[in-house]
Amino acid sequence: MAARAPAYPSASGLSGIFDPGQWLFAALNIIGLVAYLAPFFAPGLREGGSANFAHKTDAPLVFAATAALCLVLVVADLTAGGLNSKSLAALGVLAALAAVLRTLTLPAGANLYFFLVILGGYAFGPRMGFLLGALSFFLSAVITGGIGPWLPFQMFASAWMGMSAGWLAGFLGRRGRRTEVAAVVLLGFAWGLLFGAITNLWSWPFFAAGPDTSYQAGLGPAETLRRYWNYYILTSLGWDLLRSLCNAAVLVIVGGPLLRALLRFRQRFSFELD
Amino acid sequence: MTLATIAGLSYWYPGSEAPALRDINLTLESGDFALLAGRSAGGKSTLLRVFNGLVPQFHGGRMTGLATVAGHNPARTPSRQMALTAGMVFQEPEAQAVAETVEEEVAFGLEQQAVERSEIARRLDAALGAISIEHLRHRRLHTLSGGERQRVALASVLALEPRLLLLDEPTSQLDPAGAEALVAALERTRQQRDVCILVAEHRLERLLPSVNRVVEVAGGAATAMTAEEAALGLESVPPATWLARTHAGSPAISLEAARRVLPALAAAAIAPPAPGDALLEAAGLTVAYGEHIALRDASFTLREGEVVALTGANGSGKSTLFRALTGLARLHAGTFRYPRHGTDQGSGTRAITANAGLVPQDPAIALYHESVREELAETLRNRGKHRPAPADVTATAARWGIEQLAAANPRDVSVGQQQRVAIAAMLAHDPAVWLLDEPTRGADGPAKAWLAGRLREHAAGGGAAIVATHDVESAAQYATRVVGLREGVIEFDLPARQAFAADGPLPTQTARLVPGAITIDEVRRA
Amino acid sequence: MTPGAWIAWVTLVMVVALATTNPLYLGIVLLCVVLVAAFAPRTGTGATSFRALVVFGLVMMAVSLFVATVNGSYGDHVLFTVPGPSIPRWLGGLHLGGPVSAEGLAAASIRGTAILCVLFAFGVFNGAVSPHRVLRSTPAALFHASLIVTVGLTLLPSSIEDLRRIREMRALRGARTGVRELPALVVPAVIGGLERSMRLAEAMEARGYAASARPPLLPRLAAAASAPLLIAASWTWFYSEDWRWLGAVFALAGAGCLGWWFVAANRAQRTTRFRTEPTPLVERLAIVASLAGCVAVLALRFLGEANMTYNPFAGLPPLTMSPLGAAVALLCAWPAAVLLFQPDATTERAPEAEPSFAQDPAR
Repeated sequence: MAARAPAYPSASGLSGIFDPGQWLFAALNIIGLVAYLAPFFAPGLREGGSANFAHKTDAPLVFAATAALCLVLVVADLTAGGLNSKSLAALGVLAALAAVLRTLTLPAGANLYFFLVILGGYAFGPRMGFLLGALSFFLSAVITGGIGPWLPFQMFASAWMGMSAGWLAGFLGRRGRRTEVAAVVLLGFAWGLLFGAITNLWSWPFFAAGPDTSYQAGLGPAETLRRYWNYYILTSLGWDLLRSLCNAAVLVIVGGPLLRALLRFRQRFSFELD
Repeated sequence: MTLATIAGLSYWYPGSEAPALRDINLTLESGDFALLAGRSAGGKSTLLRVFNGLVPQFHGGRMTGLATVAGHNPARTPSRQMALTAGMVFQEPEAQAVAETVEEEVAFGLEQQAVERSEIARRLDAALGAISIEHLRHRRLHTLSGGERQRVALASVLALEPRLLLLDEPTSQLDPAGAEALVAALERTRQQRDVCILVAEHRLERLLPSVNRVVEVAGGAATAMTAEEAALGLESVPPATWLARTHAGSPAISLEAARRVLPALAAAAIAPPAPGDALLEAAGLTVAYGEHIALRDASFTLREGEVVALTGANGSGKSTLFRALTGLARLHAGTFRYPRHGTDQGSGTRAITANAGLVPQDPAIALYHESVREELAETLRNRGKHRPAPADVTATAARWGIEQLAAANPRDVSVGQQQRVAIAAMLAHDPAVWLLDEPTRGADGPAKAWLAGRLREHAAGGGAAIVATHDVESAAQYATRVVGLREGVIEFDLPARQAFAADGPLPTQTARLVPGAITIDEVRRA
Repeated sequence: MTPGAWIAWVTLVMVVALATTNPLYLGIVLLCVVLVAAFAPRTGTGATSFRALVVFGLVMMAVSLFVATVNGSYGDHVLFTVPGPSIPRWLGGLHLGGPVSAEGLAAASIRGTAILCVLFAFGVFNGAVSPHRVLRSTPAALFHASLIVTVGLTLLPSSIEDLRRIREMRALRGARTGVRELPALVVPAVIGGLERSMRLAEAMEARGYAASARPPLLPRLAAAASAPLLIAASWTWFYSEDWRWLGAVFALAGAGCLGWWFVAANRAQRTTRFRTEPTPLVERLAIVASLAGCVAVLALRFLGEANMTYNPFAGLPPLTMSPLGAAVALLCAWPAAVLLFQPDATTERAPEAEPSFAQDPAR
């Protein structure tokens, strides 16, 4: 083993665009996203026919499974040999707190889980946000008995949420606290809806059977999106809207103080994660 | 054989102008059992961490000079390798465990080193056996007591078979029984293995008889001496050692040694002030958590001018009593009343604590404002002063001796100061009754003396307090009465002079050496 | 039973339930899962979620039927027509109500049953396997990820405890309750937890935890390449009849890349696992049988054999099944047999019960 200082063995050993990890991270995410969205632009089935009940779900299922594989590969590559003890312990404790907060369910299925992942991602960067989102969701599934085929998609959605918060921080830069909090609140609102949209997608081809709501291969992106949107209105918009409002409200209240505290913490422990 | 040397070493934490360690020169021999003594924040922890490279590898900062441990330079050796040479046990039992069960926890370090499975099994047996905790092997860590967890932490380190064992105030969070067991485990380890042990610790009475060397660390500088030299030279020493030193001029590292050299001494007893009106009346308090009865039929009265020391092993119901008296724990039976304010068991926590402030263990956990001033101001605001005047806040800070910290962020100050800030924040509204849960846990001598003074002052001003503590010597400084709990039942309720006397349930060192005295102050006055 | 065996069983149920649309097979699978549930231990932390998942499964079935009813459906056997408005075209033009056909309802119940099987099976799984046992059996390639989760699990009780204590201390300082108190609760819990995690990191470092070498770059690139290869494989398989053989080649190449990465990543992680659970012979055989069952079901499905598919929209044809398909569906009951003869295999090694994450004020 190389005799480099183990305090920050991985912290940007190869930084910026020369770090193959960055490229792998981006590539696997994009591939996962493409696989996941495959139902929107897949061509018609070779059997064709509007009533092909049995086979219309095969391709979406296989693509969804590939997306889940991408998630596993991203997590494995991000953590493989590459986490210093500070990041590991911080991720562990944030995941534990997020999992606890997820069990505190508020009325209407909203809960306090989202704000911690968003603010964690915002304060510690996209890759940390990604891991925080994915692993905290896994942890909460483990303790509440929520393991199932839906888990990879929930983890992916949550990971992307944390990652997008990290990007947002990079995009905004130092812009004044009010702007940052406002941006975070908007992000939380958007993710309340997006989270539902992403986690419902994988099982959609199974469910609906009506002309306006069901999945059919080969309809093209616009029509597929319209049908998914209808399905979404019918099954989850109500819940997700409540969740969005709850996220936004919690972030309005907690966002400013917690963000300040997290950034201070990072500075105090010379904490570098990405 | 020389195991470790430090030569001309100075160290600065990141962003700090003043060195945390200055020009340290120190040598440790194989087989040494050495004690690091000195005040809090004097550099003991930092010096310990030099030996296994956490300073500077984990903490960053700047270092000059050289350390060598068994041929390695800890500042440059990877932690994976360094862990095999120098093992470390930390202060908090909760913040050093990674795994779920004892067995997994002890095996963790070995797994990291990719040790063969059969070898792990052998070392696991040896480590658990060395400190007699085989019976804990399959237990889940979070079901263990603090003392048991510290012994597991010690076993985890021993499993790596290091040649240097470092312990950072390992007993400061434990009750006396847990601390005794840990020290016994250390002594056994020293006899069985060829290992050098270095312990940083405040509570000298337990360790001074066992060690062969003492290193005093003060203001970042270190001075090495023998245990006898330490008995004569250290700033804060146990009462027995202090008495032998001042009245016989001889070094006594234990109570027995002091007894052999001390002449007959006279004492001038300090009588506590006479108690006034009742501030708290409790009758038949009973609290149960599920099947477990944590407090059974507790009755007592607390009067103006009284400071009650509440003693008993961990789990005997001390914290439960406090929770019951502030409305946090639901009473199964019994009543209590604060006559001066007319609050009772039906009043709710907010109303009760306007008159009776409870400071739980580790109060610093709830600090969240960005300055000490704001913390104090918030309590004052919650307690009815609509907008507390800056002068009020300043006066409160001055009362608690933290005025120079007023602008600081509570997260940035030292652990001892943080503790004081937290107590001040909980009691800023100056309630008549103080309920303090182990306020001197982990504190050094001067900090304990300061708190004793604060308690006496409060009692003299017509207030009263109940202080849960394991620390008999410092309780003797302030208590007027002692209540002993055992398995949820009040075992005794005695005036302090009786409880701390040589024939009482909790004799102090002074009481055992000087008839008629319970503290060294009383000997000093005579 | 070991976690590996449970995972194999859950996988089998999931593959069979999702691969067939024949209600007879689905019925067999559902009965098998119910049978296994009757024998399975309920010792894991997920035990409480067992009922929740079953209820959730029933709700999902209801949703499936609801959507079919509200949005109308294709099919000739119209049972009744639900009157209802349309949402404006610019909002998606969803038409609520319409003709409800027997075909539509049948299709929805078939899908609902499949989802019910999967949810039910995972309910059994979550109840039978403790999270620590799952984490112990993760491959070395995911060592660090599972270590983070383990650390999180270890810190969970103290996180709950911190939240409770902070809330109490707010009350002791006379703070009012309400949403405005949220920062005072959350900020110290998060920052205090992070500070404690730094002390934990220090302790781990002192015990020799250090980031180990990453796997070499080439296997990592291979891993990244495996995903697009698998996508290409499915694409050619599903959407271009003439190039199906190429799809098989892509699939093999993708699997090869994955395997290479997996071996390399496991080798790069230089740690040992002291405590791994040995898998008894019976369970090894059962795992192999489960995997064979998965392959068989998928093969039957893709080859169009054994009445694996049933299409209610083709005029509600009569139900049929083949012995081969029924046999594979019946395979889903194997844990019941194992548990029947080896009930001891289900006991936990650690003598104490799983920790309860409910609040315990005594601690």
